[in-house]
Amino acid sequence: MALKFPIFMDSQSTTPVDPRAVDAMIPYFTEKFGHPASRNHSFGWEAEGAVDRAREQIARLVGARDPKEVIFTSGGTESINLAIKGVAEMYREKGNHIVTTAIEQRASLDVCKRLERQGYEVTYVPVRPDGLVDVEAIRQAITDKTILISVMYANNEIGTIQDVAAIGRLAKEKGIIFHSDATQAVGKIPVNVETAGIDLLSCTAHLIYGPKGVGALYVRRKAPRVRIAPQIDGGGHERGMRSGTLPVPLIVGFGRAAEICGEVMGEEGARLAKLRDRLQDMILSKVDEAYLNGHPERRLPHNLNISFAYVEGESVLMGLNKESALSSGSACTSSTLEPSYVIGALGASAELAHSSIRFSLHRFTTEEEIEHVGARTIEVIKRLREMSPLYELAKEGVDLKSIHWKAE
Amino acid sequence: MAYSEKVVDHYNNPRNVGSFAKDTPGLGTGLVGAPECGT
Repeated sequence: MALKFPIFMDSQSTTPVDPRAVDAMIPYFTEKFGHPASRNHSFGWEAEGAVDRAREQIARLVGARDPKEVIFTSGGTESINLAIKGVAEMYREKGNHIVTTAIEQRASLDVCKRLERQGYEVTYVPVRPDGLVDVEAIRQAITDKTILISVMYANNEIGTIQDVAAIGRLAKEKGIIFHSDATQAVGKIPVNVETAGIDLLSCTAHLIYGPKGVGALYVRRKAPRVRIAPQIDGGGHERGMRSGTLPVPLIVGFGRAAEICGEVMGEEGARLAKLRDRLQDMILSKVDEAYLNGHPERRLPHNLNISFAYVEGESVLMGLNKESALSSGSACTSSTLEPSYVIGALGASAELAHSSIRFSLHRFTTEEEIEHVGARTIEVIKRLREMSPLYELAKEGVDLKSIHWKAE
Repeated sequence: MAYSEKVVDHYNNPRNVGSFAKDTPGLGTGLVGAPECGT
């Protein structure tokens, strides 16, 4: 098959909607346009039925016992806001302390920062050099004022999968609510809120081949019954936790996308992991001083993150962006040129944090695309290093750390 | 926002890049920039 350009290898920022999900959505824009909260006519019943079906599809994908535990939101960011702020507000009498990690995505960190300004206390547990958070470190961070533990399921930049089941057990033992931002994990690897002991779980449609603009928050109803303070007031939809007319077409697409992920996950994950490993071997065998970021085994099958010493991430992307779309760090930070705080949290130097490239594969990635992107990445790195004074100095045997740099 | 034509041109055809032999008589050296800032 001939290659089609540009090649999209940035699926941890977003994914295309699966055509099967689009087909499911179309009727709900036009003939089936009812409001799911209209209780007195067939338009409303039809819409409500469609929403309930999607709720079941999503509940099944995350292992929820009861579809009622799935609350629809506008996406991952809103789910995270609702989970963390909702718990903080609801349990304020009980305590004011939250335990999270240093590598959470921006939404989680920014919510925590806001809460700190409002008098809450937040502990940002550091991670090990391989990106895993030490469960013992979480245990030690817990105080008698801790009301919430919030740890992402899998990281958006390095793909490292946390030991959520162990964190879930710890949370249960201490009687603390456990929220996991699973936006990058759901639909890609098996996620089960029951076996992992997760009380609140955030996810979004657009990362699982569903539409943008819709997400979900799983809210446990039993053992324990988790309560959250709503952050949007109005008609009391979604069991009073999130008011606002439900975007039925988006929800239908989300549900169908979730169902497809459940069906193909095993096969798709194995295929993408194999392609990813091929890309990794190609690059690491041909480029010196290239470092894999994150845990080599406990990671998402479609993620590869490599730092290339002596070249800047943006320069690499610029060399590739005519024919392929990659990312250095997350989409949230790519506009700032700030070095990645995730790579920084692994203990890497600021230079290496500046030079990380994320390759994220998806359902439609082909072997030919992998070969092309791998070969071109190697070419671009070689070209940039040929004109890099840093690379030249290093090759002459100068220890770059011994130089006293003067930043302008 | 895509990169401007000028930026792309400088990227593809970099100016004032390269090395002199360090033992060239009359050649001075200096240090500018910092890798942390990407320069």
